[in-house]
Amino acid sequence: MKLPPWFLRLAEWAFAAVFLIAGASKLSQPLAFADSVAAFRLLPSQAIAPLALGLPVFEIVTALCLLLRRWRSAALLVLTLLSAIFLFALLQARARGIAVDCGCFGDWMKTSPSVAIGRAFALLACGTALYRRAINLS
Amino acid sequence: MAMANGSPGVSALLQRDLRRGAGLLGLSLALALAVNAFRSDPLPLRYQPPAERLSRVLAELGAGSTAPAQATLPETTLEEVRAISEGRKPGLLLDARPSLFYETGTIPGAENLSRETLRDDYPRLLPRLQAAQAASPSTPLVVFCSGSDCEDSVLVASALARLGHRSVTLFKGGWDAWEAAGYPTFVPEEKEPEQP
Repeated sequence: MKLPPWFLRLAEWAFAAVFLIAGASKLSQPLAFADSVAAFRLLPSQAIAPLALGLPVFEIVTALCLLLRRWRSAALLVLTLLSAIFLFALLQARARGIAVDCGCFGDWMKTSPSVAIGRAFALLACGTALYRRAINLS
Repeated sequence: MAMANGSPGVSALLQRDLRRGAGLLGLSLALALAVNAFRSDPLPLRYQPPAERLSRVLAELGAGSTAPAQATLPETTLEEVRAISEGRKPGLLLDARPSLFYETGTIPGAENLSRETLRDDYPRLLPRLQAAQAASPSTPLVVFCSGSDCEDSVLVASALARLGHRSVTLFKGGWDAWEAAGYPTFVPEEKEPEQP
C-alpha cells in the first residue's frame, strides 16, 4: 500500500514528538527517572546515574534530528532501537515479577506495566515501518 | 554491498546509520553532563537508592540509627482509615506520595509527608504530629502511598519511628484501595471533599 508523502511525514513528526516529550519529561526529573531505572534491576548501580542523565538528552537530540530531517534514517533507527530496549526492559520486569512503571514519561504520567508494554510495542512497530521506508527511499 | 544501480545496499545504510547513532549518543552524553553541571540540584554520578537518601536526611534531622523492620510496623485497615478520615476515630493520615500526586487528590484529612521532600515536610508537619499525639501517644499516625507495590509508605513510616514517633502504622492498600472503594476524595486547593 502506497502511502502519501504527507502522511509519512506526519507519522515521523508524531513519532519524534513522543520521544521529545518523553525526553523532556525525564530531563525535568532526573532523580525520579534514576529511581525508575533502578527499579528494573537490570543495570549495575554505577550505570544508573549516567543512563538517567544521558538517555533523556539522547531522546531529545535524536527526536530533533528527525523533526529537522537531519540524519533522518539514523534518527529513526536510534528511536526504533530505543523502543525495542524499552520493550525488552518492561517484558523482563514482568517475567521476573517486578512491579514497575517504566518511567518513560517521568512522574507526570505513570502508567500500568501493561499500558507501558503496549505503548512500547506500538512505538517499535511504528519505528520499524518508518525506518524501512526511509532506507528504501535513500 | 552496493546495489546494481550504484546506490548503497541495506547493510551499508544500516552501518552508516549505526555510526551516526553512535555519534548522536556521544554528543548526547557530553550535553547531558554539561546540563547536569549547571543544574541547581545536579544528579550525583553515584546513584543512591531512595532508602539511602532518606537515611542521610534522617541523620540531618537527628533521627536514631535503628529502623524498625517492615514486619514490625502494624497495619491499618481501609475501614479504620475511613473512620479516621471521617473523624469517628482519633488519628492522623499521612500521604507519602510526591506532592504532585497529593495535590491532584488524597484522602480527606491527610497531610502530605512525602519521602522525596521529607527534609522540608517533616519540620513543617512536626507541630501537627505532636498535637495529634498530645492527648494520647497511642493515637495512630497512619502512613500510605499509592498502593501495595509502593515502598514510600514503608520508608516514611520507618523514618517516623526513627525520629521517635510512636504508634506509626501502615495503610498498605493506599490511595488505590481508597479510590477503588469509591470513598470521597480531597483535592487540597478545594475546600469541600469531592463526592465520587
